[in-house]
Amino acid sequence: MNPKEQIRAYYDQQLSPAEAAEVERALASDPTLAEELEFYKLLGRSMREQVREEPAVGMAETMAKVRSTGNVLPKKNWWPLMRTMAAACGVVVIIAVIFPIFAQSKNAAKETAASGAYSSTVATPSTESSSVEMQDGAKMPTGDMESEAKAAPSRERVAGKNAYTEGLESRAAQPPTASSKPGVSAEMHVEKNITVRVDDVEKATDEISDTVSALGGKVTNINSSITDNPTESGASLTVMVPAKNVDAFAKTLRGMGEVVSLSENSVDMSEVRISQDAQVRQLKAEEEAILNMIRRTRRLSELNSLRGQLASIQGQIAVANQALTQTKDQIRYATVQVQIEGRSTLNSGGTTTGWSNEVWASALDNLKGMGRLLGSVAIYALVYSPIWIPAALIIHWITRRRMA
Amino acid sequence: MMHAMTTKSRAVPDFQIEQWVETYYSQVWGFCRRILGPELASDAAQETFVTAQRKIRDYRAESTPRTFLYGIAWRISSAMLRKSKRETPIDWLENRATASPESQLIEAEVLRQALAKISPEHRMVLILKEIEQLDINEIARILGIPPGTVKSRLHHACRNLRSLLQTSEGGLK
Repeated sequence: MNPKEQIRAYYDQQLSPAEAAEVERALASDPTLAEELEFYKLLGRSMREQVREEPAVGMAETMAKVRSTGNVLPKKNWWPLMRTMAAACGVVVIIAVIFPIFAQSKNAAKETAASGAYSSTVATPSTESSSVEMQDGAKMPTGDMESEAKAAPSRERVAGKNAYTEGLESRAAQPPTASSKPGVSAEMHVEKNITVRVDDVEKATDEISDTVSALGGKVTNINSSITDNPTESGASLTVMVPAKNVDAFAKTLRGMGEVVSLSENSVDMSEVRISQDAQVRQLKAEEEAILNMIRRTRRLSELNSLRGQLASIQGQIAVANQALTQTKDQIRYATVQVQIEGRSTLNSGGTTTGWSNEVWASALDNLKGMGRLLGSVAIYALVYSPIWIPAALIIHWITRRRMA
Repeated sequence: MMHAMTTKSRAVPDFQIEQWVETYYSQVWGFCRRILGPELASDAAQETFVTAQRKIRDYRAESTPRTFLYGIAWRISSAMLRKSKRETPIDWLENRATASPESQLIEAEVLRQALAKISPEHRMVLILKEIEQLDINEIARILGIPPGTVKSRLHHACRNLRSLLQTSEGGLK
């Protein structure tokens, strides 16, 4: 380094012996450096030797003050450590809150991406099922389209439809039996299983029967068990509803009470229907051929044989037609298995209104949510605390060193 | 000047705060006096020892008790100076300059005027270096700044002072 820059360090005795020797050589040859060094000496001497000598005031008071404060070592100041720990806990809590939200949004993004991928492909006819299961007691809000939105994509995937280019509303309103995609013919048989919890099982059963009739369907089976205790009452209905009205029927069920579970299974009947159609046509062609042969034959024995074959073919045609009709019915009608469960009213008098029910359910949900959150925080704190304790201690140690 | 207590101790002493008051009060008071003036110096010094008593566990043997006390005194005095909205009084120099070339000194009044013109930060490192005779690391610890900054401030303070003294009447020839 330049000796001129080191002159102050030389004066402050901050240089190594080698550096000091170099500066001393420079001092001997450069009078300006010597002059600068002389200035430092003069300045230091002038400041030190001209400081006014004054007696310190207030020593006795200070002594009295520290004695009155206490001569023992003060208690350890935990504040810096507590502050550091609080900061660490804050970070843990933030992670505990942010991470689940982040994970949730990540899953949602994955689902959206997956749905988007489906929307760009034409699925081969196959069997798909979707299910919206809820925890026992959890309530699906009346008229909520969310479950519909969840169930819809799988239907659309099977049908080869572009699920996300059409609105949820239109999907909800559209029957799943027909495909609007040109060149793709998908005829679906829809099976739904809905479990609904109601206050009055008997009344709900009647309402369902009426609704099914109004929608152009029929109840094919009813099993019910009605007792005085609402929670022990229940009913099971198998209904056939026109496929185009199945969503309206599901909506009606939601309006009756609390939907506990909802699952849907869609079976593509296109191949079956086409096969059965072809079989019928083939059998009819064979029938026509036998009839022509009967018209042309002159021998009695041959005629008897042909009549036997004709009877057999006509029998097969009848069976194939019946199967085809059944298949078409399955395409036209959705099968809905409805399980009705009774539920107890909150008040002993059984006069709980829907409003108070909702408030109670909402409060319970919130309490459960809070419990889950606290549990998550506790788990995160326990999991991450071994990591944070040394970090906090290091920060605390550095803080103390800096303060010292 | 009292500089006998600059020896570094390697272990935390089993001290009593009274011992510190007896040993270091004059020095701490003098330091506070050069920042605040005589009126507020006693309050600042007393506050320094009360704070030191409270923070005694934070004391590390790497620094001397004087450095520890000066660090506290600096923070307290700075806060009091800011609160009082006053400027640092430079009335702690009295003229002892003589005509003798061996004991030549810069006249106190000239030096006072020059010191008043440099920045408080530069002035403080000069006071700690030349009057308190602390080394660079101790000054850095007291002021809570890196040693490099202390060196830089010292360099600039000297350069500015020299320039001011060269242009002032009765200053450097």
